[in-house]
Amino acid sequence: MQQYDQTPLIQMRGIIKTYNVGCENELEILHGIDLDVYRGEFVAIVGESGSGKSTLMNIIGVLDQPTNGSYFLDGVDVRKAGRDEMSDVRNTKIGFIFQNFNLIGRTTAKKNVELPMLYAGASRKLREERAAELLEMVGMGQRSGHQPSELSGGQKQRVAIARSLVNDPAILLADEPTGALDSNTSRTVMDIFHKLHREQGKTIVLITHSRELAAECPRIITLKDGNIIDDHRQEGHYVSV
Amino acid sequence: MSVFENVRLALSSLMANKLRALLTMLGIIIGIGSVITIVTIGDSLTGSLNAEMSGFGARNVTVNIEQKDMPMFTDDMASDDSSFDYSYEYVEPTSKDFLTDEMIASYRKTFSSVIEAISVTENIGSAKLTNGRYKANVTLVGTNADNAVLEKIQMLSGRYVTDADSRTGRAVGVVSDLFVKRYFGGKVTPQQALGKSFAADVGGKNLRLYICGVYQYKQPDGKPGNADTETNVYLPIGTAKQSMQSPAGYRTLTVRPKQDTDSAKFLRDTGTYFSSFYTRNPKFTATASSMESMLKSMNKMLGNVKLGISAVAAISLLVGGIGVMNIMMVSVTERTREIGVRMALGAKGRVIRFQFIVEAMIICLIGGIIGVVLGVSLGSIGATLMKFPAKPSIPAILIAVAFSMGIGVFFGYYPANNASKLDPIEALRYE
Repeated sequence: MQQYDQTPLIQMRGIIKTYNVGCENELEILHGIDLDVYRGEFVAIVGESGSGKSTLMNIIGVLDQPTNGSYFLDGVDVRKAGRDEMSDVRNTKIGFIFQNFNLIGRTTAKKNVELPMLYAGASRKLREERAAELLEMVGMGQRSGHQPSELSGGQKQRVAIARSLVNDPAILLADEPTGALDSNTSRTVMDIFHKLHREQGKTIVLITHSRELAAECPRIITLKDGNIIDDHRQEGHYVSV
Repeated sequence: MSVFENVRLALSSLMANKLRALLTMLGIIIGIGSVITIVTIGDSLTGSLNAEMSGFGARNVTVNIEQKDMPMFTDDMASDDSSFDYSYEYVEPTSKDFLTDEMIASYRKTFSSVIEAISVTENIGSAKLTNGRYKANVTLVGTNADNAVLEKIQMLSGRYVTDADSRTGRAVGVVSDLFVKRYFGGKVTPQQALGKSFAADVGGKNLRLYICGVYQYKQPDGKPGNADTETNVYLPIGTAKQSMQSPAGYRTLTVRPKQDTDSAKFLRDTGTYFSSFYTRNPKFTATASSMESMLKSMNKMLGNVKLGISAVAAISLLVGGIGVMNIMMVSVTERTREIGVRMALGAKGRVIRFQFIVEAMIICLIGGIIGVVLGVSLGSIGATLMKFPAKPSIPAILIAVAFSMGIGVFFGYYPANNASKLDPIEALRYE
């Protein structure tokens, strides 16, 4: 078993998410999630659709606040953050990777990668250097001047990964990152994640409905009907890169 | 995120929808364009009128004797003529009411430091002169030496009438070069004309005058004089009064202040000075007026007209602004997902708001600049067609550009604020 820091990067206790509070159609999606993710972990959260994994992802990603419970992310008490503080937390601590890439249209790959740094107030020179470096790392150095419409799905996702890394966040939060890709490009993208995890010690949370994909990850958390029903770590389960 | 980054972003999003951006701008272009056109034409008109009037001597002060309690045409009446009283009884002034040489002499002494010239004139009539088969039409004007200064007379030969001529009543006259050409059939030069005499029948009297000087005739409207053109023959005012047996004194006189004189103060002082001679006159007083004061009220009136038309034109700016707001609402809706992504990547609400306000401002600013160019061009063409030198107003241009940016902020705020309040999860899910 790998050794981790004593303080978890993600520390959730009794997370409850209820929609339409007080209304007739009140709906509790998460029923008290306890979750610790340590620095350097590669965690897959799996579950059928409707299991609450999107809701959990929104809360982990500080896009949404839980109705109840406590959530510390890299030492920050997320429950106390207002709208602007939530933006700052997302900007500096979380790198989002979406199923449908979500690159900004009519904007070059390089500018897309720079965007989180732009919102963090980094200088132009710093942004350009960092973006070039990361695009090179994901193998998109030659296409940094291309707009999203000129890139294939796999290429777009590689740009998105570069973008997620640009502010050196505490965790990478990938929501079905291969969901829109064919098996070959899926493989390339997953290999990048494994490489980031293994070589740079990145903490990655992968949300997926695919058991197959989850099986590649050292830790698998299974969500069902708003509860964690399984959480286990497996060793030596790396795919050769 | 810097303003520069926002401007760049706004430009790229406008470039993606060129036609839409242009159509949106159209309202602003038409609004700003029409206001600037009107202001340019208006300013060119007033500028050229003022220049023309100054050429005629707008600063010259005219002193008139006037019936006491006669309603005056004042500035206020330009807007409201109901106060005009038509019921006064007209009384003919007699020689004891006239402005006298003594008054003029003491006035000249008192204000010697600011007076350049004082002219008195008396028109004694027109005459058709014949010299064998040659003919010339003249108007005989009795005047003094200073009149040459006021009327900017250019002598070609000889001299102008002098005050000594007037005192002694010498029968001399100053004629135009056109008169010389007509009357002597082109056989005599201005130099040779000196000392020659001619006779004129005016007011039933036959007047023989000896030519003491020839001045250059200036066509008043640029048209060349023809055979019937009447030119002035200036004779000493004393001679004129003697021969016409008219009473001493003047109904009117004209004063030119020296350059750099405070003309408004000079006008007041002159009026006060001359009216002081009339405090004991029951029926008449003296008043001073100048073209400049008339010009002021005319400019004020033109300014109001310009403002009124501009206000009507500015309504199209309002319509344009609403167009900008509408297109920004559409743009925000279209880009909901993009806004969600930006928020997920850490853009705060105010950053998103600023981005859209800048975009609205850029639309309006570009529209405003195009409008200014269009307005200045159309205004200049208009002014040129009306034969005025075009004079685009720099303050109006600056105000127009600033105002168009203001419209951008005002009408862009609401859609931009909506964008900034989007829920990132909802926005990311938007298809």
